[in-house]
This record gives sequence, structure tokens and C-alpha cells, in this order.
Amino acid sequence: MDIEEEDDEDDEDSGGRLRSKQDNSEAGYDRYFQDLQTSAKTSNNTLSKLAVLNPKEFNDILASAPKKHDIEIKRLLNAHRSYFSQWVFELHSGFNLIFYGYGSKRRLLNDFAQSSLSNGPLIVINGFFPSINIKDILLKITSGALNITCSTGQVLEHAAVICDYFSDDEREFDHLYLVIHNLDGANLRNERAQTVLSMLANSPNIHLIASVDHINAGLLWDNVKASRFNWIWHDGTTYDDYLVETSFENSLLMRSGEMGGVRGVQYVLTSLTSNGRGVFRVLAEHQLVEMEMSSSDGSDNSALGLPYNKYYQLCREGFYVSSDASLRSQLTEFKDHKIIHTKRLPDGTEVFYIPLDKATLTSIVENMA
Amino acid sequence: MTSNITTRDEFDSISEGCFLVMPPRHTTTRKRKRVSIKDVKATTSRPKVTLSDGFQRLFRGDEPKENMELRRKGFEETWKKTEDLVEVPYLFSSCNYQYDKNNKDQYSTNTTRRTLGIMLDMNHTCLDNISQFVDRAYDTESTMKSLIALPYHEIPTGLVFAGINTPDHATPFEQLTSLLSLPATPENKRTKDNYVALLQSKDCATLQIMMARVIEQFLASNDPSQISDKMDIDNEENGDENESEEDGEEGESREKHEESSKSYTLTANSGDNTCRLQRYDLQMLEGWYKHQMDIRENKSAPRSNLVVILQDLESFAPDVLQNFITICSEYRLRIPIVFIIGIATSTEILHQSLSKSTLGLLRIEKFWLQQSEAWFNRVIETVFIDTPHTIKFGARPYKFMLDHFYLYDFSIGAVKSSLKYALMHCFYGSSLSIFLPLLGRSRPDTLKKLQEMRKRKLITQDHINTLRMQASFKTYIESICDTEPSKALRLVTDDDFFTTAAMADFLCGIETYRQKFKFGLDLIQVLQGQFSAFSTLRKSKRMLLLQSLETRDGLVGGDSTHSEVTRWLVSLVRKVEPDALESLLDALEGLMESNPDYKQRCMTVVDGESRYKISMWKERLVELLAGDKTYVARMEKKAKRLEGMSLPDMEEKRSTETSKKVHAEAIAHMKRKGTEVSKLAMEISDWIHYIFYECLQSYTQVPMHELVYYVQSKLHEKSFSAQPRASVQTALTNSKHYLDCQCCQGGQDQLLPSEPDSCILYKLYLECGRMINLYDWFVAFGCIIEREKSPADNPLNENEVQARFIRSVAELQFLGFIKPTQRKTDHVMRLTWSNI
Repeated sequence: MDIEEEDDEDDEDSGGRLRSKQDNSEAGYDRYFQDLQTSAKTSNNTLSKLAVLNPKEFNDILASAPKKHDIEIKRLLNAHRSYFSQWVFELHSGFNLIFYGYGSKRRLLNDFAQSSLSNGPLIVINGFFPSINIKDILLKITSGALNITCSTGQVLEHAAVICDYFSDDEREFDHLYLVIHNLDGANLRNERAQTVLSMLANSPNIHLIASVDHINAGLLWDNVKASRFNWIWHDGTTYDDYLVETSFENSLLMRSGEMGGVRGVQYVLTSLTSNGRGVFRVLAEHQLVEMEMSSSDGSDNSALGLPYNKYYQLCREGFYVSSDASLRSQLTEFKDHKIIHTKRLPDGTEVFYIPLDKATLTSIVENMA
Repeated sequence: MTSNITTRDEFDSISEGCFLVMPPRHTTTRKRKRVSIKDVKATTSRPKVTLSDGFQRLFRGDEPKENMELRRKGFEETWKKTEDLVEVPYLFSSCNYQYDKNNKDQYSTNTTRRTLGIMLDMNHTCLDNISQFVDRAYDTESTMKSLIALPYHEIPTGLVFAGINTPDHATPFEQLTSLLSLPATPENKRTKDNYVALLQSKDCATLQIMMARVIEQFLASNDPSQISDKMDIDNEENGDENESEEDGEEGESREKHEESSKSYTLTANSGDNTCRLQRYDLQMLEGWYKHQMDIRENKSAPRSNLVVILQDLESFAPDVLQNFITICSEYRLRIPIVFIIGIATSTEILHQSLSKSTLGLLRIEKFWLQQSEAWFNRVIETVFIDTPHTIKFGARPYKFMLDHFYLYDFSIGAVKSSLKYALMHCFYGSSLSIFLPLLGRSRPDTLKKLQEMRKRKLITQDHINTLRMQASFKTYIESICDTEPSKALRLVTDDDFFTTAAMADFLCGIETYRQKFKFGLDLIQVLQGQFSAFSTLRKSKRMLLLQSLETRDGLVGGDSTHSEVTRWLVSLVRKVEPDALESLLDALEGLMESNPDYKQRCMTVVDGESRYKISMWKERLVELLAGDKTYVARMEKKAKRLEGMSLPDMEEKRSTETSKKVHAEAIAHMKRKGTEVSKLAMEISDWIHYIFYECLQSYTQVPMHELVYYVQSKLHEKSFSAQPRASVQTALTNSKHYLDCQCCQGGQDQLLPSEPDSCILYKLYLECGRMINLYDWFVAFGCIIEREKSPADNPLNENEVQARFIRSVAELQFLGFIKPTQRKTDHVMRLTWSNI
């Protein structure tokens, strides 16, 4: 809030305005309808022309690749750092902070939280994490940080317990800090999670420090929630890479040997019951055998898939499922995590397959044992 | 395989998305039990890690520590004052609800303060009506005025329209709750002691929870010790209890409970486990209510009602609500339940969410709370015009706040945040804010304070320099250097004089200006009220304030449209009818009397002689009117002669020299030859013109106004209406804007290899159509990357291009610019079409 900052902001703003003026010459909706009319002509090139990178290579290459604007990016980060104490002040004045702008804000916010917010439990939540859910977050707060037990039936009630705790004068901790990376993460986008978080944010001694990256993140909150959050917005453009955030995404390009895929699969498998793992194993083993026979490397796994009735039969034989419905629900879970894909053959039968290459699949199966 | 799974730092894991870091003192010491906290807290005041709440020492760290503390305290005090102004400006004077603290301990001090706040004051009549409605809701037919005998199963329901912005409703409903639960006393005209339960939709996800909430709240309004006993008994959850208390099964489930209710005794010893009622069973409430009615001292008093307030009807789940209403109506004969339902603007929602049969169970009466707009106008008046404390907004922040309120959300909360943030900004970032708390004191007091500050070395050389650098100070010096060169010199050279006597003058000058300005606005208001024929041209104080902030001349002087109001009023007074003159003078006198501010303080310019003048005019007018008929007749004759010379209207915008001359001559002539009455009107209008000129100057004329007027709006705009998408797109198309580097010169349309990878990819993306072929995108990306100068030891290879491409594509997908599609192999969909 110094005077220098004002100048800075003046610059930024005029820049932004300049931009919008120039680009308005071609309004967005015009362009949309224009493109809708003309048939989209794109070439038929596919990525199969490219070599397949495995995750290790990918990471090594990126680590050794020259970094552009390294100095400027560091300078930007340091400029943000100089506001840490101002942010603390804003938090303690009853506002919650939200950061937007291009570049991963993970490092910045973690730095901020660890250096400046030490007078209360700090919960760091990775909203981009594929299986994060609001219940786990609440549990982490109550049983992890506050060491209290409460019935965990309804999340809303659960949140109310936490709010009550922090409005009680005789509490053990004065403040609770929640750092949420990607409040707009896929699993936090739902109404319930946002309501609960907004209730927490509304409580006077719980402080939220959140970041959003999706360009339409502003649509997340209705009037009620927005007023509960009581945001102060900060431009946290860092130009930092999003490697951590995107490592969980089913990336478009790393179809095989993909890092996110493997991390995801392993995580999902460890969180399942032994029967659930069995269901996966049945398919994985079947597919490995098929791969062996057809000496395929995994470029088109759908051809090797297992038809549903046969899959069901195999699972029953292994005592993994007892009914059609339970297999279905198990498979839905796998499908949601994009671990198992399905395809309908021309004759109407549904086949299941795992979209991973042989080496990866083998290692997963080995790890399961 | 596991070697691939790399994590960046301690907060990145593939198995967990949620991490906990405990504060240092707790990780080392043993965990204290909650029971023991009480003792610990009593002895050691909480050790605060961040003592200064993030405040920093300004002047590059040279600012004395006391000053930092001073600013921090200044902020807290000023915000407290402002908050009180916003919530509690017109205390007991207009509000006749004395709050009886002894009776209701359970309300926090916060609520106590709020119960008397501006909202209550404004909604006073409405709340009165509601409480009367509640009181007589179950009165017998004979006492009912308008309604015929009650049909069975109808619950008296008050529908309260509370305005567009639902988050703001919390305060009025809290007030309503505390108001309704006040005990009946003759002075608040209440007849019944009621029990109240306030429900919000967020607490009522299911019927069971909702019921439990209602019952808990009612029981809690009773003696706490009794409840705790009871709640113990009822704590046992029974999972398979039938929860479907829909219309059909309602009767059946009641029969089942009929038996248990027989054994239900509220004051039974707690060891007796005969009551197996669920905590969401209304039977319990019934029993409790009977018991309450039995044990009360005054048996002759009317039975209390049970008021259930549903704060935000719109957000309740309709099926839950329907069941709730149905159940309550079943119990209606045994326990007198009254609903108060909060609703935003229209009853539409009621018909949409409730079925006809449910609606039939309600007997609805409607009430309207004041809209937030009225509140907003009053807050602006109180904070920016009526009170000396706190900062005032300059044109841009003020406009921002107005626009945000009127064009965006009508939100009271947002206005409060806005005020608070301005204060925060001022006290946090400006070293001169230490002078702000001195405002509104008398001059000797201010002087004393300043001298003390000077002595304690709180006013440093840095402060003095900053003060002298203010633009208004410069203009001030320039303006007096011709007339009072010695004073000007002293101001610039003598630090002691400057920081004490001169600063005291400046601070008082600011306050005097405020008082004058307030008077000027009040005068405008009074005059506007006098000319009812022109009511369409009236302007609210809010708009007048905006106008005066926006120009350098204030509301007077210059030919700008901003001074139109004052010119228009002066000319109207000039032409006023004789019989209207009396009421005009009365109004002026009333204005003088109304505000004690004008009687004391530094208002000599306006006050002393004006008061005298007004009474003189009045006397003359009385004489004139009392004058004999011949006099009147002569007057009329005289008036006839003047007919041809009537004044040209202000609306005619003739601005030639001649027309001006004619105008001036006409006025002069009127003065010379006009009737006595018109002479009087002339004098009054001259006086009004003079007052306007004195009072309605722009604040920019006041030296040192920078201390009080907050003019930066950038921060507000950024903090409260940020544009995340625009920021991302700017970063991607114009990286120089953020990075400020030397290498990326050139326009935004150019593609430079030195730009960050994602920027290059995004610019290529902008050239694409609906579908993007990943391979082609890759090739284009590679072409640009190739031009980049890579170090000799690490030449660019295909794989690196690919890896960087993958990284950037993933980023764009993560940001929401593209999404994968199945329509064509290796294609993505484009999702955005313009740079906002």
C-alpha cells in the first residue's frame, strides 16, 4: 500500500486498458459465430509422428531446459513477497485473500503461510488434487488440528462445529489458517464444498488464503457465498510453472507412460478395498496376457478389452463381486478416475480396457502384490 | 516406476491433498486439554506472534515505533467509531427499546450494540408491527379485528420483505429475534413473553436437523441448567427412527408417540430413562411448553407464543420446508407457533417452492423492511457529511462505492468493507495518518496534542517534509505569499511553528470546512423542499456530494453544470411569491435552530449575523403583510408597472453580452423599484448566494485536505472488483507488462522467441479456429522456439520442444482455454473467443 505501489498499479491498469481497447475491434461473440459458420478445417496430422516421452525424460528435459526471464520472474516474486505483512494485516482485519493471475501461486502462498502465519494451525489444501474432498478437509481440521471429535454425518454440521470452536472464547488456538491452492479445483467446484468453505471463511478467526487459476473462476460464487467469503483480491501473477498442478491432469499428450496417470492409478488403488483392487487386477492381468499374445505395446488397448459379461464372470470367480450392481459401481469409480475406459463394439457389447502401456501396467500389477 | 513419482516440496504428494502444519509452540509442548485452557488463559494473556498485525515502519523503516503503534491504534479506534456510526448513529433518542441486560444474558455484547443500531432505528415501525402481529397471533376471535374465526390448521405467518441482498439480512433478523424475545413490559407496548428460534437455511439441510435446531433454540431460551439435563437424555441417536414424517404418515407416527408422551416428564430425575424421544421430535417441545406454562409465576398472563423465524426462504429446500410446515400445523392447537418468514422481494418464490396444500396451512400477513438503499443514503450522510471523524472519500473512490452499490449488488456488507479497506489503506500506508485522530477536537485541544506529539518526537523530520510536499500546502503558500509573506516564510522554515500552531489551524480548518459544507447542503435541501413544483429537479445529498467532489469549484462558481443547482435555487428564491416567503423564512429559521452545530463552534461566518438577518426579514415581512389595504393596493399597482420587466428564466441559456446586461439591469431595477416583498426576496437570495459561495467550495481549496480525503481508487477497484481473466490474458499476450524485461520489445501482435513458452503458445492459439490440431500447433510452436538462442552446450532438440509444448498445453488446459475433444484425433477445442 505504499506510494510506489500506486505508480506500479497505474502502469498495470493503463496496460490492461490499452489491451482491451485494441482487442475490442474484434468482439469475442463475433468471432465465435464467424467460426461456427465456417467449417473448421484442420489438417489430419496426428501426434503419432512424435516420439513418446516418458515422465522421467519429460521432467529431466524440462529441468535442463533454459529458463526464460529467470531474473524477472524472481524479481516479480520478490515484489510479491514485500506485501506479506500487508496481507497479514488484511487477514487480521477480517478479510480473506484470494490470488489470481497467470503462473502457479503455490510457492508464493506456501512461502507466505510458512513465514508469516505461525500463530495458529495451518492447513494447506491442494484443490487441484484429484481426489480431494470437503469431508477430508473438515476431518483434517477437527481431528488433525483441533484434536476434537465430532459426529461426521453432515458436512454442514461439521463445519458449524468448527465455526463454533473458533468463536468460543476459551479455545486453544486463536486462529486457523486455510491455504487453498486452486479453490476452483475440479473437486472443490461443487456447491457443497463452496458453501462449507464460505461458512468457514465467514467465521471471524478462520482465515482463508486461496488462489484461483481458471479463467472463469469468478462464476463459482453466488451473491451469498461471495459476501461470506469477503474477499480481497490480489493479482498474484508469478509466471511460475504449473507442473505440480497439471501433473494430476490427464494430460492430452502423454497418453502412455503418463506420470499423472500412474500417480493417479496408484493412489486410487491404495484407497480401494481388496475386492476393488481385485477387480482391477482381473482386467490388468487379462490385458497383459492379451498384450503378450498380440505383442502390442499399448497403442490401441481397446482391441484387447474384456467384454462385460466375461469380466463379470471372472470377477465372480475370484469372489471380488457378488452382484452385477456391485461390479457396475466399482467400474464407475474406475471410469471416473479414468483408469478403466470402455468402448462399445459395433455389435453392442461393451468392452473394458486400461489405457496404459505394457511396462507401466506390469509395474502397477507388481506393486499391487 | 516409483522413481518417476517426484514431489516438489513438502506440500506436494500423490497420496494426500491436505496438509497440516501446527504452530511451533504446540508441536513441541504437550497438547493441553480443553478443560485446562481456562486457567491457562486467565493467567497468561495470549502470546501474539504477530504483535503488530502486519504493520510496518514507514520511511524505509525509520519511522519511530510509537508511530507505528499510533497508526495501528488509530486504525482500530477509527474503524470502531465508523462501525458504530454505521450501525449505531441515532441511539436512544429515536429508539424506545431499552435493552434490559439482566433479563437476557445470553446475548453477546455485540448483539446488544446492534440491537440499537441504525437498522433497527430505520425499521422501527416495521418491527413494531411485526411484534404486535406476533403478540396477537393467537388471541381469541373476539379480540381479532379484521379476521373471522380461525379455521383450523392455519399458522399465523408474517412474511417479511427484506430486500434484494440476502446476505445483509442477518442483522435485521438478529434484531428482530432479540426484540421479540424481550419480556413484555408496558413501555415497549408488548403483551406477551415470547420464545424465539431463528433459523437459517444453511442450518436446515434435512428435516431432522431443522427440527432439532428449532427445539434446541427454544429450550436454550430457558434456564440453561434444565436443558443440559434434558439434552443428555435425548442425546441417544436412533438410526432407524422413521424420519419420513410426510403428510400421510404423520398421523400414524403421532399415535405411536402418544404413548411415550404420557410418560414424558420434563423435570423427571435424570436417571429415569423412560423418555425415549428423539431430539427432533416436536413432542418434546410440546412437553417443554406445557411445563413452561405450568411453572410460570403469573398464571393469568397470556400464553406465550413460539416464534419460528426462517431467515432466508429462498435457500430452504422446498420439501424440507413443506414437511416442516405440515408438522407444525399438526401441533398448532397445542403449541402456538408463529412463523416469521424472510423473503427478498417477491412472493413468487413462495408459490414456486410450496405446494398449494402447504400454502393453505399458512395465514400470511406481509411486512416490509427498509431497503438497503435508505440505509446507504444515511450512511453516506452520517459518515461523509455529518461527522468529523474518519476519512472522507474523494471523487473516484466515492463514485466507485456508489456504482458498486447501485449498479452491482445493493450490498450493505460491501459498503462496510469498502469503508474499512479505505481506512486500512490510509492507516497502513500513510505516515501522515497519525494526525487523523486529532480531527474534530477544539483548537486548543488539538494544539495541546500536537505539542505533546512534537515533544515526544513523534513528528519527525520525515513527517514535516511529507507534509510540506502536499500539493494543497503548496497552493496555500502561494496564495498567502503576497499578502502575508512573513507567515508564508515561517511556515516553510520554522518547523516548530509549522507542526504545532499551523497544523492545529489546518486541522481545525478542515473541520470548519466540513461544518460549512454540511450547512450548505442542508440549506440546499431546505430550499429544494420549499419549491414543491420543481420536485423533479431535486437532488439527493448523495448526488450533491458527488457533484461537489467531482469539480474543482465545488457547487459554486464557474459556469459548469455542477453549479447549476445553486444558481437555480438562488433564482427561484428571487422570484418567490410573497405568501411563500413566510414559509421560506420559517424553514430557514428552523434550519438554524435544528442543529446545535450551527450555534457553537467556528460557524461565525455563517451564523451570527445571518440569524439576526433572518429575524429582521421576518419582522419586515410581518409588517408588510399586516400593512393596510391601501398599502397593498398601492403595491399591486406598482407591481403592475413592473410586469414587463419580469426576470428571464434561468433555463433560457442566452449568454450573449446583451442578454446578460439586460438581466443585470432588470435585477438592479427590481431592487430599486420593486415591491417591498420582492426587495425582501432579493435580499434573501443574495444572502443565500453568499452562503452557498462560502460553504460549498470544493474540498480541494482547503489546505492539507490530503490528510482526510482519500482519493486513490485503484486499490479499491483492484481489491473488490478484480478481473482475473483479463489479468491472465494480459500476462499471456503482453508479458512485458508484468515482467518488464528488455528482450520482449515490440507489439503484442508479434511473436518473439524470447517470450515465455505459454505466451507463444497462447498467441498461436489466438490465430486458431474452433478446433486446434495439436500436431500443427506443435510444429508452429517449434518454429518459433527454434529461433531462440540456445546455449552451445545444450542445443535445442526435438524432445525438448515437445516437452515444453506439453507443459504449455497442459497449462492452457488447466487455465480453461482449451479442452480435449473426441471429435477428431489429437485435436482440442478452443474455449475462449476474445480478450476481455
